[in-house]
Amino acid sequence: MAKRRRAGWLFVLPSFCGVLVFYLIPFGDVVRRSFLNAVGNGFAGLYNYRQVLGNQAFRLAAGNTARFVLVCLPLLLCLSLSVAVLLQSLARKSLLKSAYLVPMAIPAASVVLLWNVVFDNAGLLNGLLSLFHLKGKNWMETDAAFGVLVFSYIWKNLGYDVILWLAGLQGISKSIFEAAKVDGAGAWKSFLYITLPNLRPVAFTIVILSFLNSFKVFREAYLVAGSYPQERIYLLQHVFNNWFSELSVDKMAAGSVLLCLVLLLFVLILQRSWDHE
Amino acid sequence: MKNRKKGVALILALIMALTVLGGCSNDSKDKKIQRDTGTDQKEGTEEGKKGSGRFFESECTLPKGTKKICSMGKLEDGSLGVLAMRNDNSYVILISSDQGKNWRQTKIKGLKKEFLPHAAIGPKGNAALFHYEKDGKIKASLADPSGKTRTVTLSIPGNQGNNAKNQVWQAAYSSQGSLIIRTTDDSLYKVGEDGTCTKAFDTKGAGINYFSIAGNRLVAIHDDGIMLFDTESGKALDSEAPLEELVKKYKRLASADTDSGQPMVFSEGTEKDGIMFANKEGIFHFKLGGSVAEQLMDGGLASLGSGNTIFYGIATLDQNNIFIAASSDSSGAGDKIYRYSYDKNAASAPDKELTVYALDESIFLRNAVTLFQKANPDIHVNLEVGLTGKDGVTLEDALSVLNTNILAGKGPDVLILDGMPVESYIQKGILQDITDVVEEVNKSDGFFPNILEASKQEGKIYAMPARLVIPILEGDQATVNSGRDLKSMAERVTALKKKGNSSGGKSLPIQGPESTLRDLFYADSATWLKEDGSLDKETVTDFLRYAKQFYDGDNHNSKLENQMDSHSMDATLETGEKLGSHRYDGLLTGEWKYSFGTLSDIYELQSICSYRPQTKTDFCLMNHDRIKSYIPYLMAGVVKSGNTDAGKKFVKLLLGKKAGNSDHNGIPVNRAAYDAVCKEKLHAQNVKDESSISFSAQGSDKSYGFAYANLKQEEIDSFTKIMESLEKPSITNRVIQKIILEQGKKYLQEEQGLEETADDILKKVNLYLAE
Repeated sequence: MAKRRRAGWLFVLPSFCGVLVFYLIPFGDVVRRSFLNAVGNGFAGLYNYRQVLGNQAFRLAAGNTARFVLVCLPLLLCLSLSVAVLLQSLARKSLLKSAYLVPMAIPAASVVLLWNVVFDNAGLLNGLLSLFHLKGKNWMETDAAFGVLVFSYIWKNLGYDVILWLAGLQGISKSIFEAAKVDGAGAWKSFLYITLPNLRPVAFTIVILSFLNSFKVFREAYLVAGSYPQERIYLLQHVFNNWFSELSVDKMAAGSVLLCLVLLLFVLILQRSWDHE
Repeated sequence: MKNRKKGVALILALIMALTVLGGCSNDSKDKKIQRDTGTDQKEGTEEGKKGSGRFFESECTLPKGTKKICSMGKLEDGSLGVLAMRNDNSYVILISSDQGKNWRQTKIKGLKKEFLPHAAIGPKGNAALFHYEKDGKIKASLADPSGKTRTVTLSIPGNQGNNAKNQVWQAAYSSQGSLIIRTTDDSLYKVGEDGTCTKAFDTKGAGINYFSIAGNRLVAIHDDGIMLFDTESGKALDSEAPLEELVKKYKRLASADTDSGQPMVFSEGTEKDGIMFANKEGIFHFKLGGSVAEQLMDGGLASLGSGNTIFYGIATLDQNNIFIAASSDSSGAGDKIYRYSYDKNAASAPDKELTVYALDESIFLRNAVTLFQKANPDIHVNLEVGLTGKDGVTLEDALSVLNTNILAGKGPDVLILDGMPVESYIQKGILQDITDVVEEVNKSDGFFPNILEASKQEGKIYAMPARLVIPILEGDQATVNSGRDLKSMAERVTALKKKGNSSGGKSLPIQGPESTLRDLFYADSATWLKEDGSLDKETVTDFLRYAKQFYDGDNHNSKLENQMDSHSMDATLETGEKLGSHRYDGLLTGEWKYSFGTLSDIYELQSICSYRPQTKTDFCLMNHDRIKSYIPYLMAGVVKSGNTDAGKKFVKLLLGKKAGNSDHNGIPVNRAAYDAVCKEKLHAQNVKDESSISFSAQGSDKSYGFAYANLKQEEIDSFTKIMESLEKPSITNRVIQKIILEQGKKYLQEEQGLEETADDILKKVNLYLAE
């Protein structure tokens, strides 16, 4: 048994070394720096954390990020599940599946070009609205920018979640549905009492992945609107990016640690509630 | 079998682990210089080999009264020959037989006292000078070694009768004494004794940008490479791939910078089939048929590497002594002959390194680096430029890389803080207190006390500008009177526009929205920040309103405006020349009623003072009643974690008189340098001949221009008063500037309203400040 365990460790060792060197040790360094001054090794205690929590820009960014996640995540999960269930019922779905994955393959810079073409003051959307005698606006410089960001996130990540849901759906045995049908269960009841409970394991993965992907939307926001975008799309990554330009590494480290704790808490709560059920 | 499988698995696991860990190698920069020579031609060179021996630069003293070097070469008796112009515009042949220590001077007789840009010295100590007669003919005055001249008329093909369309642009003698010229149509001709010109070199239609003589070889440089010819037979020789690639790689080597100097010069080497050549990268030796060029001297360690060096000639007297005639001053003054002698006992490379980092290219900074290198041959200065403009790197990218290096302990030793978050760096303790250095320079040379005080933070100085630029307004008296604040200026613009429209003329130069905003921003922004560090809304709103009035002061041509924005004169050009955004061409044509922008140096001041009797205009510091602001340029700071001793030495030189003694690239903050430059402008000889401006207005055959005149004492006194009155630097933070320009442009181009724009600006700037 000990020998097998040793062999197992040896196989895990290279990846673990990679994770150690590129993730764990740097993160440890970030935690260390969060208690030190920006440059040099002067001990600052909890000063950096107090600075970050009292920082207006950080609070705004954290609020925006939280709002974004709370809006996008349920929307994405529901939409992707609906699409997956619909696709599941189709006989020929491979072409549609590929079509849903195309947005994921488009590079961020191309997406940004598309944004500019569609959402600019002189863009396609305003042009379309003017055809119907409706007044357009500068979508990226008003509160509508938040909606554009949500749309972009969902458009990009829908396909990925659809594929994952489809994988989960395909794992549910057809015999259960047949038995339910025999017992008189309709489509809705089958979905509620058979599909959803059986999708729980894959749902956990999808929620975590979608949650992490929600932070990647910063790329598009940054490329379109720069370091200081419209207030509603000013996210945590903007703050960190700008702090780095100003060499405020102390605040950046403290902010990162706080963010990490929040994420960890979220994952643990999710895991606990999943396990509990 | 089982054990074998285990063994294989173990080996594979170890290999993967080693591969992962091996990627994390330590490439910490050794502060003891490891020479990064970086260009192809340095392969196979002596560089990089630890050892002893290298070339050192020294300057040859030319006879008193020598103003300009026209040509230089090695004479057939092994001595050094120079054809030079004197202060009185006469020409002399200077010959030195003792390595440039002493000179025998022979005056060339029979020449008019005028500037003759194209001339050559021959192998016997003879000379050829070219001039143009009133009847349009091109004459060559051929001088023998005793200075006696005979004149021949050149018959260049393409020139018929008095129509000398095809002119001489360059001349040189071969080692056998044949005179070769390059003409306006970029062709090469051999000049006979009687002046007949024959096309002896078949360039296959390639336009020759410039040429050089290396013994019995002619090296002709064109856009796509180098051609080699035998000077006597005219036969084309085999091309040399390393030389071809050199020109292809460094495009700037392909074209002549001026019509009297070139970016690269060639001469015969000391061994058979050897060629020596020099450019800003250094001095090189190349053997024909070889695959690499050997670098003998790094241009960065000598005056060669200075930003705007142009070359007149190179002569290799022997293996240990190379002479180069060059000028590091774009105006042509400051021609020198440098001697490079080999010291076999010196270390092959300086053992200490100093890294200077700037976001933007700067000729002034490069010249300061060269001066520092010469004064400190044991220190190699590595100048890093963050935004070269060639690789798509943005300001954020450059700052990220810089900050990463600083945090990793591999940052520069000296920071040129223009465009950087200076306040943040000071707060974080990145910058060393350089009060001692500034006080030292202040004691010896003096600074403008107002600028010195404005640079202090709680009694200490962490960053000090070496130069500055000021915002000016130029126009008639009523316009100058309105320059007291932006409101009055805006009202004046509106009034002039009404007048202009009624008479059909324009009042203002066409300015892009960004250029307009930027120039006004420089004049006004010094007062924008409140006590709590946030932006004042009313100030921003007023600013935008006035900027709109300025922008609306003329009819708009969006294509031209975009051009003006993208080629803004305020930007530092690729070569690092700091130019002001203030323009005067429309004032000279009478099209514009006034002009505003930044005045960048004393040379520009001289321009204004030279033409204003014609234009009947005057100038003032823009917005002077509200705030007398200036834009700091080349603000230097020393990084605490770097080589602070060498860093302080460099900053001391940068702020000092020697480096500051230039009428270009900013107005000196060093008082001694400022006074010296102004004094030079009072008494410069032949200023009219050397620098007059003429141009044609767009869509017109009529030409306009003015002749430069020396500054008068009262003009200098008046300008000094302005300098002494400056109060505060304008906001140089590029993040804030970018926000103002981006948002303000939308208002100027009526994409959004005033209140909305002001709110957007405030939100973004206050967000930045809140971070």
